[in-house]
Amino acid sequence: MNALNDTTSATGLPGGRTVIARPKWRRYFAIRKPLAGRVATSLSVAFFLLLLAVWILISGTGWVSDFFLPQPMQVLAAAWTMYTHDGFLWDVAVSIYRVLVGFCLAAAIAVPLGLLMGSVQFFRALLEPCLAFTRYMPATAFIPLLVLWLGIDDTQKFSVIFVGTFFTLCLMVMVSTLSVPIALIEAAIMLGARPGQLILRVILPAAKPSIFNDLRIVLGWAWTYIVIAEIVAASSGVGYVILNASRFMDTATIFVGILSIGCIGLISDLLFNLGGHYLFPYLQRARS
Amino acid sequence: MSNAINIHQVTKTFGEGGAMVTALDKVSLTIGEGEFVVFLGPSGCGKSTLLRMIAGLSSLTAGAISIDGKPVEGRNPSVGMVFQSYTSFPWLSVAENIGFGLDLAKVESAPRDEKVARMLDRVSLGKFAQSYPSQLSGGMQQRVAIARALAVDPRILLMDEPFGALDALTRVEMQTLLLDLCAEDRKTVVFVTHDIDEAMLLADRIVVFSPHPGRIAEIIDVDIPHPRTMEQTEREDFTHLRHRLRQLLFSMAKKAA
Repeated sequence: MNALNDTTSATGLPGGRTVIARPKWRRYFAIRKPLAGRVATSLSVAFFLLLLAVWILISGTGWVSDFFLPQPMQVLAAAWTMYTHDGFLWDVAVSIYRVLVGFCLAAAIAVPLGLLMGSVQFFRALLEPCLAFTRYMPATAFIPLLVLWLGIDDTQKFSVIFVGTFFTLCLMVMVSTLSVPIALIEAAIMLGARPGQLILRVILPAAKPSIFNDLRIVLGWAWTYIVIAEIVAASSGVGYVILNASRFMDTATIFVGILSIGCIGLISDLLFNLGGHYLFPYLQRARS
Repeated sequence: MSNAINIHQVTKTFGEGGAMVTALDKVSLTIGEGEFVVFLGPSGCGKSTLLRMIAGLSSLTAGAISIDGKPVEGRNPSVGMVFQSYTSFPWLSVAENIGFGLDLAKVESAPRDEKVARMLDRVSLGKFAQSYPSQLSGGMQQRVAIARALAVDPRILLMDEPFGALDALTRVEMQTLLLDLCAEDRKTVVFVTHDIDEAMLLADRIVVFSPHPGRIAEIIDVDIPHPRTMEQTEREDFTHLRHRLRQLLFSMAKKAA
Protein backbone atom coordinates (compact mmCIF):
# COMPACT_ATOMS: atom_id res chain seq x y z
CA MET A 1 0.00 0.00 0.00
CA ASN A 2 2.79 2.32 0.95
CA ALA A 3 4.80 1.43 -2.12
CA LEU A 4 1.78 2.15 -4.25
CA ASN A 5 1.31 5.54 -2.68
CA ASP A 6 4.93 6.46 -3.31
CA THR A 7 4.59 5.96 -7.02
CA THR A 8 1.28 7.70 -7.52
CA SER A 9 0.64 10.77 -5.41
CA ALA A 10 3.99 11.39 -3.71
CA THR A 11 7.56 11.84 -4.86
CA GLY A 12 10.29 9.96 -3.02
CA LEU A 13 13.24 12.00 -1.77
CA PRO A 14 16.58 10.68 -0.50
CA GLY A 15 16.43 10.15 3.23
CA GLY A 16 12.98 8.62 3.10
CA ARG A 17 11.13 11.97 3.16
CA THR A 18 8.23 12.43 0.81
CA VAL A 19 6.66 15.54 -0.67
CA ILE A 20 3.01 15.49 -1.63
CA ALA A 21 2.66 16.97 -5.11
CA ARG A 22 0.48 20.10 -5.14
CA PRO A 23 -1.98 20.76 -7.94
CA LYS A 24 -0.36 22.83 -10.70
CA TRP A 25 -2.92 25.63 -10.81
CA ARG A 26 -1.96 26.67 -7.30
CA ARG A 27 1.29 28.23 -8.38
CA TYR A 28 -0.66 30.86 -10.35
CA PHE A 29 -2.03 32.13 -7.05
CA ALA A 30 1.13 31.90 -4.91
CA ILE A 31 1.62 34.91 -2.67
CA ARG A 32 4.42 37.27 -3.73
CA LYS A 33 5.80 34.84 -6.27
CA PRO A 34 6.58 36.17 -9.75
CA LEU A 35 4.66 34.86 -12.75
CA ALA A 36 6.37 34.08 -16.05
CA GLY A 37 6.30 37.14 -18.34
CA ARG A 38 4.19 35.37 -20.95
CA VAL A 39 1.60 34.31 -18.39
CA ALA A 40 1.36 37.83 -16.95
CA THR A 41 0.91 39.41 -20.40
CA SER A 42 -1.70 36.84 -21.40
CA LEU A 43 -3.66 37.57 -18.23
CA SER A 44 -3.60 41.33 -18.89
CA VAL A 45 -4.76 40.90 -22.49
CA ALA A 46 -7.35 38.31 -21.52
CA PHE A 47 -9.05 40.68 -19.11
CA PHE A 48 -9.30 43.42 -21.76
CA LEU A 49 -10.82 40.89 -24.14
CA LEU A 50 -13.23 39.72 -21.44
CA LEU A 51 -14.46 43.28 -20.91
CA LEU A 52 -14.88 43.71 -24.64
CA ALA A 53 -16.83 40.45 -24.85
CA VAL A 54 -19.16 41.55 -22.05
CA TRP A 55 -19.67 44.85 -23.83
CA ILE A 56 -20.48 43.12 -27.13
CA LEU A 57 -22.83 40.74 -25.35
CA ILE A 58 -24.76 43.47 -23.55
CA SER A 59 -25.03 45.90 -26.45
CA GLY A 60 -25.31 43.32 -29.26
CA THR A 61 -28.13 41.27 -27.78
CA GLY A 62 -30.24 44.36 -27.28
CA TRP A 63 -30.38 44.07 -23.52
CA VAL A 64 -29.55 47.70 -23.39
CA SER A 65 -30.53 50.09 -26.15
CA ASP A 66 -27.57 51.41 -28.19
CA PHE A 67 -28.85 54.85 -27.32
CA PHE A 68 -27.43 54.30 -23.82
CA LEU A 69 -24.66 51.85 -24.62
CA PRO A 70 -23.37 51.98 -28.21
CA GLN A 71 -21.95 48.87 -29.78
CA PRO A 72 -18.16 48.59 -30.13
CA MET A 73 -18.41 48.92 -33.90
CA GLN A 74 -20.44 52.13 -33.56
CA VAL A 75 -17.79 53.56 -31.27
CA LEU A 76 -15.08 52.52 -33.70
CA ALA A 77 -16.96 54.16 -36.56
CA ALA A 78 -17.46 57.31 -34.51
CA ALA A 79 -13.75 57.33 -33.65
CA TRP A 80 -12.86 57.04 -37.35
CA THR A 81 -15.02 60.03 -38.34
CA MET A 82 -13.92 62.09 -35.36
CA TYR A 83 -10.22 61.53 -35.91
CA THR A 84 -10.26 61.78 -39.71
CA HIS A 85 -13.02 64.34 -40.43
CA ASP A 86 -13.96 66.31 -37.32
CA GLY A 87 -10.46 67.23 -36.22
CA PHE A 88 -10.77 65.47 -32.86
CA LEU A 89 -7.01 65.01 -32.85
CA TRP A 90 -6.77 68.76 -32.50
CA ASP A 91 -9.02 68.68 -29.42
CA VAL A 92 -6.89 65.90 -27.94
CA ALA A 93 -3.78 67.97 -28.64
CA VAL A 94 -5.33 71.03 -27.01
CA SER A 95 -6.21 69.02 -23.89
CA ILE A 96 -2.74 67.47 -23.71
CA TYR A 97 -1.22 70.92 -24.06
CA ARG A 98 -3.38 72.30 -21.22
CA VAL A 99 -2.64 69.34 -18.96
CA LEU A 100 1.08 69.54 -19.61
CA VAL A 101 1.33 73.30 -19.00
CA GLY A 102 -0.78 73.21 -15.83
CA PHE A 103 0.92 70.11 -14.51
CA CYS A 104 4.46 71.29 -15.29
CA LEU A 105 3.77 74.59 -13.54
CA ALA A 106 2.53 72.73 -10.48
CA ALA A 107 5.47 70.29 -10.54
CA ALA A 108 8.04 73.04 -11.08
CA ILE A 109 7.02 74.63 -7.78
CA ALA A 110 5.81 71.59 -5.83
CA VAL A 111 8.94 69.47 -6.28
CA PRO A 112 11.47 72.00 -4.95
CA LEU A 113 9.08 73.05 -2.20
CA GLY A 114 8.34 69.46 -1.13
CA LEU A 115 12.05 68.68 -1.20
CA LEU A 116 12.75 71.66 1.03
CA MET A 117 9.91 70.75 3.41
CA GLY A 118 11.19 67.18 3.67
CA SER A 119 14.75 68.34 4.29
CA VAL A 120 14.46 71.38 6.54
CA GLN A 121 12.05 71.19 9.48
CA PHE A 122 11.61 74.99 9.37
CA PHE A 123 9.81 74.91 6.04
CA ARG A 124 7.75 71.89 7.03
CA ALA A 125 6.44 73.60 10.17
CA LEU A 126 5.78 76.75 8.16
CA LEU A 127 3.88 75.22 5.24
CA GLU A 128 2.57 71.74 5.99
CA PRO A 129 -0.58 72.67 7.98
CA CYS A 130 -1.57 75.26 5.39
CA LEU A 131 -1.04 72.84 2.50
CA ALA A 132 -2.89 70.05 4.26
CA PHE A 133 -5.82 72.41 4.75
CA THR A 134 -5.89 73.64 1.15
CA ARG A 135 -5.57 70.10 -0.13
CA TYR A 136 -9.01 69.24 1.21
CA MET A 137 -10.69 72.11 -0.58
CA PRO A 138 -12.03 70.48 -3.74
CA ALA A 139 -10.35 71.85 -6.84
CA THR A 140 -13.60 71.54 -8.77
CA ALA A 141 -15.29 73.97 -6.37
CA PHE A 142 -12.73 76.57 -7.40
CA ILE A 143 -13.80 76.45 -11.04
CA PRO A 144 -16.62 79.04 -10.80
CA LEU A 145 -14.27 81.32 -8.90
CA LEU A 146 -11.47 80.82 -11.42
CA VAL A 147 -13.87 81.53 -14.30
CA LEU A 148 -14.83 84.76 -12.53
CA TRP A 149 -11.21 85.77 -11.99
CA LEU A 150 -9.55 84.50 -15.14
CA GLY A 151 -12.33 84.14 -17.73
CA ILE A 152 -12.66 81.00 -19.83
CA ASP A 153 -9.41 80.97 -21.77
CA ASP A 154 -6.46 78.65 -21.26
CA THR A 155 -5.25 80.43 -18.12
CA GLN A 156 -8.36 79.16 -16.36
CA LYS A 157 -7.65 75.58 -17.51
CA PHE A 158 -4.05 75.77 -16.33
CA SER A 159 -5.09 77.10 -12.96
CA VAL A 160 -7.74 74.40 -12.40
CA ILE A 161 -5.07 71.76 -12.99
CA PHE A 162 -2.63 73.67 -10.83
CA VAL A 163 -5.09 73.93 -7.94
CA GLY A 164 -6.01 70.27 -8.34
CA THR A 165 -2.49 68.91 -8.29
CA PHE A 166 -0.12 71.35 -6.62
CA PHE A 167 -1.02 70.95 -2.94
CA THR A 168 -1.13 67.18 -2.88
CA LEU A 169 1.99 66.90 -5.02
CA CYS A 170 3.83 69.11 -2.54
CA LEU A 171 2.90 66.84 0.36
CA MET A 172 3.67 63.67 -1.59
CA VAL A 173 7.14 64.94 -2.51
CA MET A 174 7.69 65.90 1.12
CA VAL A 175 6.80 62.38 2.27
CA SER A 176 9.06 60.85 -0.38
CA THR A 177 11.88 63.11 0.76
CA LEU A 178 11.33 62.19 4.41
CA SER A 179 11.72 58.51 3.56
CA VAL A 180 15.39 59.00 2.60
CA PRO A 181 17.29 57.06 5.31
CA ILE A 182 18.98 59.32 7.85
CA ALA A 183 22.05 57.04 7.66
CA LEU A 184 22.69 58.14 4.06
CA ILE A 185 22.53 61.76 5.13
CA GLU A 186 24.85 61.24 8.09
CA ALA A 187 27.32 59.31 5.93
CA ALA A 188 27.43 62.29 3.57
CA ILE A 189 27.87 64.72 6.48
CA MET A 190 30.87 62.70 7.66
CA LEU A 191 32.33 62.97 4.15
CA GLY A 192 32.11 66.75 4.40
CA ALA A 193 28.80 67.57 2.69
CA ARG A 194 27.49 71.05 3.49
CA PRO A 195 23.69 71.63 3.75
CA GLY A 196 23.26 72.66 0.09
CA GLN A 197 25.28 69.67 -1.08
CA LEU A 198 23.27 67.39 1.21
CA ILE A 199 20.01 68.45 -0.43
CA LEU A 200 21.20 68.45 -4.04
CA ARG A 201 23.68 65.58 -4.05
CA VAL A 202 22.22 63.18 -1.49
CA ILE A 203 18.57 63.81 -0.59
CA LEU A 204 17.37 64.70 -4.11
CA PRO A 205 19.01 61.76 -5.89
CA ALA A 206 17.95 59.38 -3.11
CA ALA A 207 14.31 60.55 -3.26
CA LYS A 208 14.18 60.92 -7.06
CA PRO A 209 12.69 57.51 -7.91
CA SER A 210 9.76 57.97 -5.54
CA ILE A 211 9.27 61.63 -6.54
CA PHE A 212 9.14 60.38 -10.13
CA ASN A 213 6.40 57.96 -9.12
CA ASP A 214 4.50 60.77 -7.34
CA LEU A 215 4.53 62.75 -10.59
CA ARG A 216 3.25 59.74 -12.53
CA ILE A 217 0.30 59.30 -10.19
CA VAL A 218 -0.65 62.97 -9.96
CA LEU A 219 -0.47 63.44 -13.75
CA GLY A 220 -3.36 60.97 -13.92
CA TRP A 221 -5.47 63.25 -11.72
CA ALA A 222 -4.74 66.21 -13.96
CA TRP A 223 -6.79 64.47 -16.68
CA THR A 224 -9.85 64.41 -14.44
CA TYR A 225 -9.52 68.11 -13.77
CA ILE A 226 -8.99 69.14 -17.38
CA VAL A 227 -12.15 67.37 -18.51
CA ILE A 228 -14.17 69.04 -15.77
CA ALA A 229 -12.66 72.42 -16.59
CA GLU A 230 -13.45 71.95 -20.28
CA ILE A 231 -16.99 70.76 -19.59
CA VAL A 232 -17.67 73.89 -17.57
CA ALA A 233 -16.31 76.42 -19.99
CA ALA A 234 -14.43 75.82 -23.20
CA SER A 235 -14.67 75.90 -26.98
CA SER A 236 -12.19 73.13 -27.62
CA GLY A 237 -10.66 70.09 -25.97
CA VAL A 238 -11.79 66.58 -25.14
CA GLY A 239 -14.09 67.75 -22.34
CA TYR A 240 -15.80 70.21 -24.67
CA VAL A 241 -16.37 67.50 -27.28
CA ILE A 242 -17.85 65.21 -24.61
CA LEU A 243 -20.20 67.94 -23.39
CA ASN A 244 -21.32 68.78 -26.93
CA ALA A 245 -21.96 65.12 -27.71
CA SER A 246 -24.12 64.79 -24.62
CA ARG A 247 -26.25 67.70 -25.83
CA PHE A 248 -26.97 65.72 -29.01
CA MET A 249 -27.25 62.46 -27.04
CA ASP A 250 -24.40 61.09 -29.11
CA THR A 251 -23.16 58.38 -26.72
CA ALA A 252 -20.68 56.91 -29.19
CA THR A 253 -18.77 60.20 -29.28
CA ILE A 254 -18.76 60.38 -25.49
CA PHE A 255 -17.28 56.88 -25.44
CA VAL A 256 -14.58 57.87 -27.91
CA GLY A 257 -13.67 60.83 -25.72
CA ILE A 258 -13.45 58.77 -22.55
CA LEU A 259 -11.55 55.90 -24.16
CA SER A 260 -9.13 58.35 -25.80
CA ILE A 261 -8.24 59.74 -22.40
CA GLY A 262 -7.76 56.20 -21.11
CA CYS A 263 -5.34 55.53 -23.97
CA ILE A 264 -3.45 58.76 -23.31
CA GLY A 265 -3.12 57.74 -19.65
CA LEU A 266 -1.81 54.33 -20.65
CA ILE A 267 0.73 55.91 -23.01
CA SER A 268 1.87 58.43 -20.40
CA ASP A 269 2.35 55.62 -17.87
CA LEU A 270 4.38 53.73 -20.46
CA LEU A 271 6.53 56.80 -21.09
CA PHE A 272 7.08 57.25 -17.36
CA ASN A 273 8.13 53.61 -17.04
CA LEU A 274 10.57 53.94 -19.94
CA GLY A 275 11.88 57.16 -18.41
CA GLY A 276 12.31 55.39 -15.08
CA HIS A 277 14.35 52.61 -16.67
CA TYR A 278 16.53 55.19 -18.35
CA LEU A 279 16.93 57.51 -15.33
CA PHE A 280 17.36 54.88 -12.62
CA PRO A 281 19.34 52.01 -14.12
CA TYR A 282 20.57 51.03 -10.66
CA LEU A 283 17.05 50.02 -9.60
CA GLN A 284 16.87 47.28 -12.23
CA ARG A 285 20.25 45.74 -11.58
CA ALA A 286 19.53 44.36 -8.14
CA ARG A 287 21.61 41.40 -6.99
CA SER A 288 19.71 38.15 -7.35
CA MET B 1 51.89 59.16 22.31
CA SER B 2 49.92 62.39 22.06
CA ASN B 3 46.21 62.54 22.71
CA ALA B 4 43.90 62.53 19.71
CA ILE B 5 40.54 62.45 21.49
CA ASN B 6 39.74 63.75 24.94
CA ILE B 7 36.43 62.82 26.54
CA HIS B 8 35.74 64.61 29.80
CA GLN B 9 32.79 63.94 32.13
CA VAL B 10 30.41 63.39 29.23
CA THR B 11 26.74 62.89 30.06
CA LYS B 12 23.90 62.27 27.62
CA THR B 13 20.23 62.07 28.49
CA PHE B 14 17.23 61.48 26.25
CA GLY B 15 13.70 62.67 27.03
CA GLU B 16 12.52 64.79 29.92
CA GLY B 17 11.00 64.46 33.39
CA GLY B 18 9.85 60.99 34.39
CA ALA B 19 10.61 59.56 30.94
CA MET B 20 14.24 60.76 31.07
CA VAL B 21 16.83 58.11 30.23
CA THR B 22 20.50 58.58 31.04
CA ALA B 23 22.41 57.01 28.15
CA LEU B 24 25.84 58.06 29.40
CA ASP B 25 26.79 59.15 32.90
CA LYS B 26 29.96 61.24 33.40
CA VAL B 27 32.20 59.23 31.12
CA SER B 28 35.85 60.26 30.85
CA LEU B 29 38.42 58.72 28.50
CA THR B 30 41.54 59.68 26.62
CA ILE B 31 42.38 58.10 23.26
CA GLY B 32 45.94 58.39 21.98
CA GLU B 33 47.12 59.20 18.45
CA GLY B 34 47.35 56.00 16.39
CA GLU B 35 45.58 53.90 19.00
CA PHE B 36 42.95 51.27 18.13
CA VAL B 37 40.29 51.48 20.84
CA VAL B 38 37.28 49.19 20.94
CA PHE B 39 34.10 50.14 22.81
CA LEU B 40 32.62 46.84 23.99
CA GLY B 41 29.33 46.39 25.81
CA PRO B 42 25.77 45.13 25.68
CA SER B 43 23.12 47.08 23.82
CA GLY B 44 21.90 50.16 25.66
CA CYS B 45 25.27 50.92 27.26
CA GLY B 46 25.72 54.15 25.32
CA LYS B 47 28.77 53.06 23.31
CA SER B 48 27.27 54.07 19.97
CA THR B 49 25.94 57.29 21.48
CA LEU B 50 29.44 58.24 22.60
CA LEU B 51 30.82 57.43 19.15
CA ARG B 52 28.18 59.65 17.52
CA MET B 53 29.10 62.46 19.89
CA ILE B 54 32.79 62.14 18.94
CA ALA B 55 31.66 62.31 15.30
CA GLY B 56 29.72 65.50 15.99
CA LEU B 57 26.44 63.89 14.88
CA SER B 58 24.91 64.00 18.35
CA SER B 59 24.99 66.74 20.97
CA LEU B 60 26.28 66.46 24.54
CA THR B 61 24.02 67.04 27.54
CA ALA B 62 27.02 67.85 29.76
CA GLY B 63 30.79 67.54 29.66
CA ALA B 64 33.21 68.10 26.81
CA ILE B 65 34.83 66.23 23.94
CA SER B 66 37.85 67.61 22.16
CA ILE B 67 39.80 66.40 19.15
CA ASP B 68 43.40 67.60 18.94
CA GLY B 69 42.59 70.03 21.73
CA LYS B 70 39.66 71.63 19.89
CA PRO B 71 36.10 71.08 21.18
CA VAL B 72 33.88 69.05 18.84
CA GLU B 73 31.41 71.23 16.93
CA GLY B 74 29.78 69.31 14.13
CA ARG B 75 31.79 67.32 11.66
CA ASN B 76 35.58 67.50 11.91
CA PRO B 77 37.48 67.05 8.61
CA SER B 78 40.03 64.77 10.27
CA VAL B 79 37.30 62.31 11.33
CA GLY B 80 35.81 59.63 9.06
CA MET B 81 33.02 57.24 9.90
CA VAL B 82 31.71 53.81 8.88
CA PHE B 83 28.15 52.88 9.88
CA GLN B 84 26.47 49.60 10.70
CA SER B 85 23.75 49.98 8.07
CA TYR B 86 24.74 49.99 4.42
CA THR B 87 25.17 53.62 3.48
CA SER B 88 26.51 53.35 -0.06
CA PHE B 89 24.66 55.77 -2.33
CA PRO B 90 22.56 53.46 -4.53
CA TRP B 91 22.54 55.80 -7.55
CA LEU B 92 26.34 55.96 -7.74
CA SER B 93 28.74 53.26 -8.94
CA VAL B 94 31.28 51.79 -6.52
CA ALA B 95 34.00 54.09 -7.90
CA GLU B 96 31.74 57.15 -7.69
CA ASN B 97 30.82 56.24 -4.11
CA ILE B 98 34.49 56.07 -3.14
CA GLY B 99 35.18 59.38 -4.86
CA PHE B 100 32.16 61.11 -3.28
CA GLY B 101 34.07 62.88 -0.47
CA LEU B 102 36.77 63.99 -2.90
CA ASP B 103 34.11 65.36 -5.27
CA LEU B 104 32.48 67.31 -2.43
CA ALA B 105 35.86 68.87 -1.68
CA LYS B 106 36.28 69.62 -5.43
CA VAL B 107 39.55 67.71 -5.74
CA GLU B 108 40.92 67.91 -9.31
CA SER B 109 40.11 64.94 -11.49
CA ALA B 110 43.64 63.50 -11.94
CA PRO B 111 44.51 63.13 -8.24
CA ARG B 112 40.90 62.13 -7.54
CA ASP B 113 40.91 59.28 -10.04
CA GLU B 114 44.30 58.12 -8.83
CA LYS B 115 43.09 58.10 -5.23
CA VAL B 116 39.89 56.21 -6.14
CA ALA B 117 41.88 53.60 -8.08
CA ARG B 118 44.23 53.13 -5.13
CA MET B 119 41.35 52.74 -2.67
CA LEU B 120 39.57 50.27 -4.99
CA ASP B 121 42.75 48.25 -5.06
CA ARG B 122 43.25 48.36 -1.29
CA VAL B 123 39.78 46.94 -0.62
CA SER B 124 40.04 44.54 -3.61
CA LEU B 125 37.02 45.93 -5.45
CA GLY B 126 38.81 46.80 -8.71
CA LYS B 127 36.61 44.47 -10.72
CA PHE B 128 33.46 46.06 -9.31
CA ALA B 129 34.38 49.71 -9.93
CA GLN B 130 31.44 50.25 -12.30
CA SER B 131 28.91 48.10 -10.38
CA TYR B 132 26.07 49.60 -8.39
CA PRO B 133 25.89 48.90 -4.62
CA SER B 134 22.67 46.89 -5.10
CA GLN B 135 24.72 44.36 -7.07
CA LEU B 136 27.16 43.81 -4.19
CA SER B 137 27.08 41.52 -1.16
CA GLY B 138 26.95 42.98 2.36
CA GLY B 139 30.68 42.50 2.90
CA MET B 140 31.51 44.25 -0.36
CA GLN B 141 29.20 47.14 0.53
CA GLN B 142 31.04 47.64 3.80
CA ARG B 143 34.34 47.59 1.91
CA VAL B 144 32.96 50.41 -0.23
CA ALA B 145 32.02 52.27 2.95
CA ILE B 146 35.51 51.83 4.42
CA ALA B 147 37.22 52.85 1.17
CA ARG B 148 34.93 55.88 0.88
CA ALA B 149 35.72 56.98 4.44
CA LEU B 150 39.48 56.49 3.98
CA ALA B 151 39.60 58.20 0.57
CA VAL B 152 39.45 61.67 2.17
CA ASP B 153 42.41 60.77 4.43
CA PRO B 154 40.94 61.17 7.92
CA ARG B 155 43.38 60.73 10.80
CA ILE B 156 40.64 59.33 12.99
CA LEU B 157 38.28 56.58 11.87
CA LEU B 158 35.07 55.91 13.80
CA MET B 159 33.38 52.58 13.19
CA ASP B 160 29.90 51.86 14.55
CA GLU B 161 29.44 48.07 14.53
CA PRO B 162 30.46 48.03 10.86
CA PHE B 163 30.49 44.23 10.59
CA GLY B 164 27.45 43.62 12.79
CA ALA B 165 25.15 42.68 9.92
CA LEU B 166 27.62 40.34 8.20
CA ASP B 167 27.80 36.54 8.41
CA ALA B 168 30.55 35.02 10.58
CA LEU B 169 32.95 34.15 7.75
CA THR B 170 32.66 37.49 6.00
CA ARG B 171 33.11 39.21 9.33
CA VAL B 172 36.50 37.53 9.91
CA GLU B 173 37.51 38.41 6.36
CA MET B 174 36.59 42.06 6.98
CA GLN B 175 38.41 42.16 10.34
CA THR B 176 41.56 40.86 8.64
CA LEU B 177 41.17 43.46 5.91
CA LEU B 178 40.82 46.20 8.51
CA LEU B 179 43.96 45.02 10.31
CA ASP B 180 45.86 45.06 7.01
CA LEU B 181 44.64 48.56 6.21
CA CYS B 182 45.70 49.77 9.64
CA ALA B 183 49.10 48.11 9.29
CA GLU B 184 49.72 49.97 6.02
CA ASP B 185 48.56 53.32 7.28
CA ARG B 186 48.27 53.94 10.99
CA LYS B 187 45.03 55.67 12.03
CA THR B 188 43.41 56.40 15.31
CA VAL B 189 40.43 54.02 15.30
CA VAL B 190 37.45 53.92 17.63
CA PHE B 191 35.46 50.77 16.95
CA VAL B 192 32.12 49.89 18.55
CA THR B 193 31.06 46.25 18.88
CA HIS B 194 29.36 43.74 21.13
CA ASP B 195 31.44 40.86 19.74
CA ILE B 196 34.16 39.78 22.21
CA ASP B 197 36.36 38.01 19.63
CA GLU B 198 36.19 40.98 17.32
CA ALA B 199 37.24 43.29 20.16
CA MET B 200 40.21 41.09 21.11
CA LEU B 201 41.46 40.68 17.57
CA LEU B 202 41.39 44.38 16.75
CA ALA B 203 41.98 46.39 19.91
CA ASP B 204 45.01 47.93 21.53
CA ARG B 205 42.66 48.78 24.32
CA ILE B 206 39.17 47.51 25.09
CA VAL B 207 36.84 49.90 26.90
CA VAL B 208 34.05 47.83 28.47
CA PHE B 209 30.78 49.72 29.01
CA SER B 210 28.03 48.82 31.46
CA PRO B 211 24.42 49.82 30.83
CA HIS B 212 21.69 51.79 32.66
CA PRO B 213 23.23 54.31 32.93
CA GLY B 214 26.09 53.94 30.46
CA ARG B 215 29.40 53.96 32.26
CA ILE B 216 32.90 52.65 31.68
CA ALA B 217 33.13 49.42 33.66
CA GLU B 218 36.72 48.53 32.87
CA ILE B 219 39.55 49.35 30.50
CA ILE B 220 41.69 46.42 29.38
CA ASP B 221 44.98 46.66 27.49
CA VAL B 222 45.50 43.98 24.87
CA ASP B 223 49.29 43.43 24.92
CA ILE B 224 49.65 41.42 21.75
CA PRO B 225 51.91 42.83 19.07
CA HIS B 226 50.68 43.71 15.58
CA PRO B 227 50.29 42.37 12.98
CA ARG B 228 47.73 40.07 14.50
CA THR B 229 46.05 37.08 12.94
CA MET B 230 43.01 35.03 13.73
CA GLU B 231 45.25 32.13 14.85
CA GLN B 232 46.74 34.17 17.68
CA THR B 233 43.36 34.54 19.29
CA GLU B 234 43.44 30.80 20.00
CA ARG B 235 46.49 31.25 22.29
CA GLU B 236 46.30 30.90 26.03
CA ASP B 237 46.53 34.59 26.99
CA PHE B 238 43.64 35.26 24.63
CA THR B 239 41.62 32.46 26.21
CA HIS B 240 42.07 34.11 29.61
CA LEU B 241 41.03 37.47 28.25
CA ARG B 242 38.01 36.00 26.49
CA HIS B 243 36.93 34.32 29.70
CA ARG B 244 37.27 37.55 31.65
CA LEU B 245 35.35 39.64 29.14
CA ARG B 246 32.57 37.08 29.00
CA GLN B 247 32.20 37.10 32.76
CA LEU B 248 32.17 40.87 32.77
CA LEU B 249 29.44 41.10 30.13
CA PHE B 250 27.33 38.29 31.57
CA SER B 251 27.43 39.74 35.08
CA MET B 252 26.07 42.99 33.61
CA ALA B 253 23.31 41.11 31.84
CA LYS B 254 22.38 39.41 35.10
CA LYS B 255 22.30 42.70 36.95
CA ALA B 256 20.12 44.27 34.28
CA ALA B 257 17.64 41.37 34.35
